[in-house]
Amino acid sequence: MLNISRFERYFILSLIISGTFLISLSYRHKIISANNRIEAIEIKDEQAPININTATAEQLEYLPGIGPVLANDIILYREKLRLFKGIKELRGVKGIGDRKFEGLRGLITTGD
Amino acid sequence: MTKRPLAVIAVFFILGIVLAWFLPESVKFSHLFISTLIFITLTLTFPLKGRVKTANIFLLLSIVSFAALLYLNSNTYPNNHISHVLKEEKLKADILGVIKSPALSRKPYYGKVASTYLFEIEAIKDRKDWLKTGGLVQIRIETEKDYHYGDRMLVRGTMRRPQIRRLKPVATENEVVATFRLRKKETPGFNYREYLENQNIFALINTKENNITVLSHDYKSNPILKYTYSLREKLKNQIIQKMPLESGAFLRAILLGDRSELPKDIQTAFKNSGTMHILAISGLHVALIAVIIINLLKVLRIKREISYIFTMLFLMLFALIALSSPSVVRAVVMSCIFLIGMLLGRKVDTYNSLGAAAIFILIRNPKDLFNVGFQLSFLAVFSILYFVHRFMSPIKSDINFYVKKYIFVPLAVSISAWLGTAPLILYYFKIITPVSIIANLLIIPALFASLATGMTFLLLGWMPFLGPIFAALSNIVIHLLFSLAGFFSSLKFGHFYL
Repeated sequence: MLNISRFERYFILSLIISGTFLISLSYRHKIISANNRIEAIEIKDEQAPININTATAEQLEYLPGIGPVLANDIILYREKLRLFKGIKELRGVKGIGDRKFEGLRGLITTGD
Repeated sequence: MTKRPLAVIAVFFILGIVLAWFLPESVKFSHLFISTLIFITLTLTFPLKGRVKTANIFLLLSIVSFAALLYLNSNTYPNNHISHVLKEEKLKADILGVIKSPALSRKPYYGKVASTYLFEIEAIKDRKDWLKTGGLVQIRIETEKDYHYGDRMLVRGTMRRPQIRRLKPVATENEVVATFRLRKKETPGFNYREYLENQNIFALINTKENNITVLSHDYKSNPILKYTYSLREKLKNQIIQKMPLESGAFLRAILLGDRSELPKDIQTAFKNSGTMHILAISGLHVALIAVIIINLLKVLRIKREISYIFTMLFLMLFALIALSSPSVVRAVVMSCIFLIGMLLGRKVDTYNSLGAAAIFILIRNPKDLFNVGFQLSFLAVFSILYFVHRFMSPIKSDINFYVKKYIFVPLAVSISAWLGTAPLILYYFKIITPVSIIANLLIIPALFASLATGMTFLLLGWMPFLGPIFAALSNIVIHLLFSLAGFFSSLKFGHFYL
């Protein structure tokens, strides 16, 4: 049924042996972590706030609720103002209302 | 059978997985582990007494047992895995995780564009506490912008387990679609949850762009995957910007493996003409692409060895870009083995390379055995290998060489592929399509042309003046293909739904 040489047989066998070993390691790993209860962890907000005075349009797009158009509007508005003195000035951009602004609070800074 | 060790091993490997699938839950990992060890020891001891045949039988048994072990392990998840954490009902939660793929699909969803990604969960916050968990899920984000592989983000959204039966909205002809009250119809014989779970996807998240905060980029990302995926995104955007919707969607289907935006009526035309396999990247596409590249390099007078190695590297890149679905991987593994054989000047047994491809895919994920694409792909190749020369042998050798090469051989291939896959297609899709034997004869050359023009467009489409010309050219070819599919699907007695 299987026409292989002695060498080939030992080669396949050694692959199976090492495979079995690896599988049982992986299985053991899963079972051990299963014995731990579900653990609660602390999540820190890792994101550094984005500086709206220096950010490019692409960086601004990563903020929630800001797409390509709005990012462009913000940059145009910034050029008009020269600089944002405080984050509240962002409200002057058309399309950023109270709700959107609340969502951005903490994620943006003016660099001061 | 005797001189095809890899094919034999693959068959027994598959046998092991099927066996493990049938095994009752009382059979534990440890039982299989011990049986594997016993078989290995028996294989080692028998040749000492000079009984090689018995040793080989025990070797095959240890392969069966090993495959069963592999399947059992792939189906075991830690206690805090998302499949254990999530209950049947919807969960509204904050979710922390990392995007693990480029956009799998991108299409309008109730008037807004939504993209889906693979998302690896790290933790979820139910009410107060963050729970550490794990597992892959599919996330759908309502957004116009692109997220990238390796984006770690905080998501607020709803998470649920996939439906067992996917309900498809179906609008009948007399119904007014605008009322949003589409009638729902079950897809028969298809379990969506099982389909996703076989790809290790356990839940679906729905969310909007406003509810996402990106924490960092390239989080624990693999550089090779990062570059191939960003290349895929670039190609996708080039197609979206420069091609008309329908032909662009088709090009994305055949070159990137994403047919989500292809209109339903075109998909139905392909389905009814029995050429649905055109839309899913398969061995056919890989082979055609390899032929295109090898001939291109031949024209450029590049040395044969170098051109083969380049083709192999290109095909591997292509498999990654097409998100390594089983049928693509199968085709790429087989083509690479074939090309290596050519390089070494040795003839490769195709059954053997088919077996090698099966073993490679199933070791990566044993559950791919239950994937429709895997089954169709392997069955089609197997039946082509098995039937074609049987059909060709009664044909007299004195007929014109060109008639034989361009009419009889393609016909034989088409008939054998259809014979092999028809029962499975009948089972899964409840349709039988005799027209596909003839349709394929005309549609495959058209596919070849659209692959060639489409690839030229992808490579050179960014150029200022030539770009639109390439786009227009590929658009014309693709529309020709659409009309062929439309013609064959409208033929009487071409297809039957059961």
